[in-house]
Amino acid sequence: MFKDIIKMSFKNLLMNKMRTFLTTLGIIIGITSIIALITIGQGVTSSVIDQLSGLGGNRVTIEITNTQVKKGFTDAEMESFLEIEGVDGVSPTVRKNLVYTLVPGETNSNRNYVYTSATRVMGVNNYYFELVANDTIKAGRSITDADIKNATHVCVLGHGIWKNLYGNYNPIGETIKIYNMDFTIVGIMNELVGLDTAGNYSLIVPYTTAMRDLQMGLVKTFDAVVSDSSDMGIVVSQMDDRCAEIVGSTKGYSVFNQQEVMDIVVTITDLILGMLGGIAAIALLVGGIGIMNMMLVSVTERTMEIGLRKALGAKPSTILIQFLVEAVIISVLGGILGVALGAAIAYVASILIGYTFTFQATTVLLAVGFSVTVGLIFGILPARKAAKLNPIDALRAQ
Amino acid sequence: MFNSRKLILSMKGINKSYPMGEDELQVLFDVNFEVYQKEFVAVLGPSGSGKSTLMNIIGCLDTATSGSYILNGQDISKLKDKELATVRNHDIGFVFQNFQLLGRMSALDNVILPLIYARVSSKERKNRAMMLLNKVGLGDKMQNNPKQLSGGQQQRVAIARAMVTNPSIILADEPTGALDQATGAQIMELFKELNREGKTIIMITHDPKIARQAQRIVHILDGRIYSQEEYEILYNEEGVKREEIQEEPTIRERRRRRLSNV
Repeated sequence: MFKDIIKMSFKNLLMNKMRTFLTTLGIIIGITSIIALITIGQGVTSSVIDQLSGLGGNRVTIEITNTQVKKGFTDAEMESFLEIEGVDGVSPTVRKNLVYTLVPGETNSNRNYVYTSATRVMGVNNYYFELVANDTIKAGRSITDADIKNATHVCVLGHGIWKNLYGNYNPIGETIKIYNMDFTIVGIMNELVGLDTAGNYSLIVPYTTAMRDLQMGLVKTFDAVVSDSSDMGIVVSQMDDRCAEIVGSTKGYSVFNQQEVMDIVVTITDLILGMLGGIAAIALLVGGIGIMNMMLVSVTERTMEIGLRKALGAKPSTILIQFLVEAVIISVLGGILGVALGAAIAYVASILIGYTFTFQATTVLLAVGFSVTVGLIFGILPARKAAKLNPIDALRAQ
Repeated sequence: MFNSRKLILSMKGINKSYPMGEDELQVLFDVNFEVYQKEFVAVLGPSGSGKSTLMNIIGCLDTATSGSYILNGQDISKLKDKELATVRNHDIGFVFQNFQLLGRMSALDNVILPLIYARVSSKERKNRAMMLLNKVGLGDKMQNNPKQLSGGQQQRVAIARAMVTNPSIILADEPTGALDQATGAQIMELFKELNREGKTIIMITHDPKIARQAQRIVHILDGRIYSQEEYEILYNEEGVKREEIQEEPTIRERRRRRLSNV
């Protein structure tokens, strides 16, 4: 019998094509906006997260914020952080703009004269490459523990500065003068993307060399690498304690987890998505009210028919189901069209904004489930009205 | 004479009243009514006599305030809405004055409708509906919409629909009321033929000429039911109480009344 009811409902809806279409339009607009916003939102969020993950969620940045309290960390002080359980290593960074010189004969740059310029020099250790460059390098090698230990005069070129000075030439093994000291070029970095791209235009040297020979000062900031980010809270608080001990004060330094930045970004994008979703939900609500309105009119118009059906043996539940099915057909139809339209809009947006378009099957299920729910909720009132009609009064209606 | 026949409908002491503000309006008073299988009974009464209310109760569209109603062996008075719907579907075939066909369906689909609610398989219901449409003489008009049919043809479709579930009784409410004389007569012939074939028919009407074509007439007046014999004792041909006439004082007055009736 359910099959017959569905057939009858389709017939009824086709009787008033224009009215059915306009009612469906309300649902289409609602579902379209929900699908488009969810899909665009998911795409943008995942793009942002991808970029942020360059920062590394498992990094804790320790920084001296007031150099009057303490000038910087010594090697020993940094290494004492390794005693904290969960800390795998520390990645110090010292930065300073320094003069460098390229001498023809010592290196084959695209300047065929003695070229002197200034650029940022970064003193780092092997962790820097792991954290920033995913442990990959374009050519040669990165800075090793041995380089740190011996404060060797080796240098890794950032991708940008390499391109600028050498084009596509591979200068590994050649010599560059930094601060009038010879440094052997041992590697070229890949181009960095994401938020921490300072390395692209830097000369990267062992931090021990930077501190001792290049006089770049003490380490004011360094990253600690934590093996398991689920223990982050405990590790961070232990680091905070250690820092206070070293600095001798509870002020003048900061212990800052990169994950917090990511969490904040995700929270903000979720919030924006939620707000947009709310607006879309209002559109759907209005669509639902449209269904209810149409169904109420339909019940009034068809009072006599309902009375007749009851006289012929339709139970109140049968009438209820018939009208509910009509409401659900409209909303599901709107839902399906809305999903298609919403996905199309999201796809176009992905091309315009430039994020990767992903479309999940769960979104479709969600949208269809949503529209069925809307149909049921807004169909129940008219359907109950129809089911409750007294057949005697209904038959008398003209 | 009916002892050998099965009692199909039995009403005892039926009262029906409607709330009217704080008062109650009683429409039916202690109605006793019996119909045997294969009878053709006319319920005759003027408008306002309570015949519509009686029809609604017979048709299980409404329930009595008090009294017992047994239809085809089933006590109707205690049934819920849901069960009443099933009884209407199985035991009653309605024929209405204004046909009550669904305009956007074909004649065939209109006849099929009660069988959908009876959960008959789609193949069988089509066969049954086609058979009945053939029987009422509309074998060539099955796919027509009611709008494309004449009044008499529409009423034939309605009669086919009334019979399609093979109900215990066919309940016709002023079945010729919307038809011209000739067509009305044809419809009455159809009813008589169905009755000869064994259908039990109850017809509600205000028209004595139509009522006289039934086997038996039951009168309803002011919510009370009278058999033909009782009625003739109590009322004259014009439906005026004889007691009242006897109360009239003078012969002259009676003569004046008789003259004004001519």
